[in-house]
Amino acid sequence: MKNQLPFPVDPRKIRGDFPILSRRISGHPLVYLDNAATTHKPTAVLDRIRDFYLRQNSNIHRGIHALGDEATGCYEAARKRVQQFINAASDREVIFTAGATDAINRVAEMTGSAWVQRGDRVLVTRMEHHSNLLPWQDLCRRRQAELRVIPLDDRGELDLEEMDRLLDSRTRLLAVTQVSNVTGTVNPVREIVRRAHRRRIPVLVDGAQAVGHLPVDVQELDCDFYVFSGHKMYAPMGIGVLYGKEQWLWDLPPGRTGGGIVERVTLREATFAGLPQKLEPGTPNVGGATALAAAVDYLQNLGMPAVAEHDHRLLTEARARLKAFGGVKIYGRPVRCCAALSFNLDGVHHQDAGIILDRLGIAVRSGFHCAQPLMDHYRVEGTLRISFGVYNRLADLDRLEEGLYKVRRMLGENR
Amino acid sequence: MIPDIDSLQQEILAEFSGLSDWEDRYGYLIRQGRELPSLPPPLRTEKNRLPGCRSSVWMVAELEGDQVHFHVHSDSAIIRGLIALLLRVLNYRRPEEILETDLYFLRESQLRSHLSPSRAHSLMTILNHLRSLANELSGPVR
Repeated sequence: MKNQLPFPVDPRKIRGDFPILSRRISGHPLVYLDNAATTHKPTAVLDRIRDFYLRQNSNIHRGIHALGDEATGCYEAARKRVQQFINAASDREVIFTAGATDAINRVAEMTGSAWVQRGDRVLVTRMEHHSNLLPWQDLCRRRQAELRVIPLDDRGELDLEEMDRLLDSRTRLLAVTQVSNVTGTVNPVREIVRRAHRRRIPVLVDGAQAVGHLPVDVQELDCDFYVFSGHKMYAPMGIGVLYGKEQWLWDLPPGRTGGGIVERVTLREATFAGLPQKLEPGTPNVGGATALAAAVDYLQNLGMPAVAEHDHRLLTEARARLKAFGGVKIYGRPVRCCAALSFNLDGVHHQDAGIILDRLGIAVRSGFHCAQPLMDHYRVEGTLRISFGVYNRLADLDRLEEGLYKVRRMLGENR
Repeated sequence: MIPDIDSLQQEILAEFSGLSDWEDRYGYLIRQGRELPSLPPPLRTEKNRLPGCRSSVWMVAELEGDQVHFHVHSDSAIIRGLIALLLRVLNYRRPEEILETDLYFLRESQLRSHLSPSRAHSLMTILNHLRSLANELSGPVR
C-alpha cells in the first residue's frame, strides 16, 4: 500500500535545510514528531534573522538614518509577504504580535470593553487550546459576561446544530480553532463564520495549527480575526500575527498603548496613528518578522498544496499503521484532519510511552496538550501525540512503530 | 522487623549496579513499581493528589503505632517504580527517620542522571511530599 506515489514534498531534498535533524538523541538519529508544539527552522530562516542583526539592525519608523530606513523596509516588506500568504485585503490588516496566544489576548483586550457588557455572551468550543479559552474566561469574568461552549459529537466534530442554538442575540463573539492541536480535526470554519455572520456575530479563528499545513485565505474564510504563531510554521519563536478586518481594527480601542502608535501626544491625551502602527506599541520584533517572511518564502517555494498533501499522506499512513498495530485507541474520527494525531496504547500510561520513545530518539508529545476540556471529553488524563512537518518521511513512521513495539514489550503486561 | 535503612540502601545499590543499560534500568524500575501496593481508587481524590507532578500521583499517610505507613499510587509505571524505591527505604519508619534519613542511594546509583530532568524533578517532588506528610504526623508543629 505504501509509497505508491512519490511524496509531493521530497524529504530527501529538504532535510539538509534543517541541520538540527542530524542530531542524535541517546545515540539514535532524531525522529522529530512534535511539530504541533514547534517546527524546526530551515537555514534560510536562520540566515535571514542573522543577516538582519548583522546588517540592518536599527529601530523602525523613527529615525532618518539609512539603517533605520532599511530596517523599516524589511519590516514592512515582511508585513506585505504575510498579507499575501494569508490573502488579507490590505497590509494594514496584518499586525505583528509575539505569537498566537499574544494575538488572542490582544483581541480580548481590544473587544472586552467595546463589545462585551454585563450579561453578554462569548462562545468558544470544547476543543480549544487553553490559549483560546483562558483569555475569554478572563474577559467574561471582568465583564460579568457568560462563556458558553460548543460541544462535540461522538466523532469529535463540533456540534453545529448546538452551535446554532448558542449563537443568540446576546452573543458578542465566537472564538474557534481551525485545526485541533490534539485530534487534528479541521473545523468547517467557512460554514461556522457564515452562520455566525447571519446573526452579525464576529468570529476569531485560531490558525496556530493550520498555517504550516494548509493554504489559508482569510478573505475566503471571511473571519473577522485570524491569529497564528510563526514558530509552528518554520519561523522563530516570539513572532506571530493578528489579522483583523480593517473596519474592526480601526474602530476598536488599541487595548495596549506605548511608543510609536500616536500622531500627537499631550500630557492628557493622545491622537492615535493609523493602521497598523496604532496596534503595535513599542519596538516590534523586526528580526522575527523578517524571518517569518523567509519562512513564508520557504513554504511557498514548496507550495502549500504540496505541503498539505504531504502532511495528509503521512497522517493517513500513521492512522492506518496504528490501527494495524492493535491495542491502540485513537482520539477523534475527524471527517477532515491535518497536523496532529493523538492516541494511547492500551494499558500503557502515555508518559511512560513518551519516556521510552525519547530514549530511542523519537520525540513525541505526551500529556494533555494544553487542552484539558478536550481530555475531559474523552475521559482521559493525557495522550501521546504525533505531528508532522515537511521533513518527516515514512522512515520516521517505521522508527515510531519499532519504538511502540519496544514500549509494549517493556510495559504492555503492566495493566 | 524490617531491615534497617542503611542495609536497604546498600541492597538497592547492589541491585542497581547489576544493570548495564537504560533498558535494564527502566525494566528494573517498572518491576519495582509492580511490587508497590496500590492506593484504592476511592482514595485517589483531589485532596490526596500531588501538585506539581506531570503524571498524577496520589498519596496518603497514616500513623500505625509510631510508624508512618504510606499508600501511594501513580498511573505511570515508571513513576510507580521510583515511588517503590523510595518507599522500600522510607515506609514503616518513624517520622523523624523519614525526615532525617540521607537517601544516599539516589546519589550513588546516579538514578537521577538516568532520568530526564522533568522526571528527576518529579522524584524530588514526591520525596518532599512524603517528608511533609511525615512531618504533619510527627506531632505538634515545631
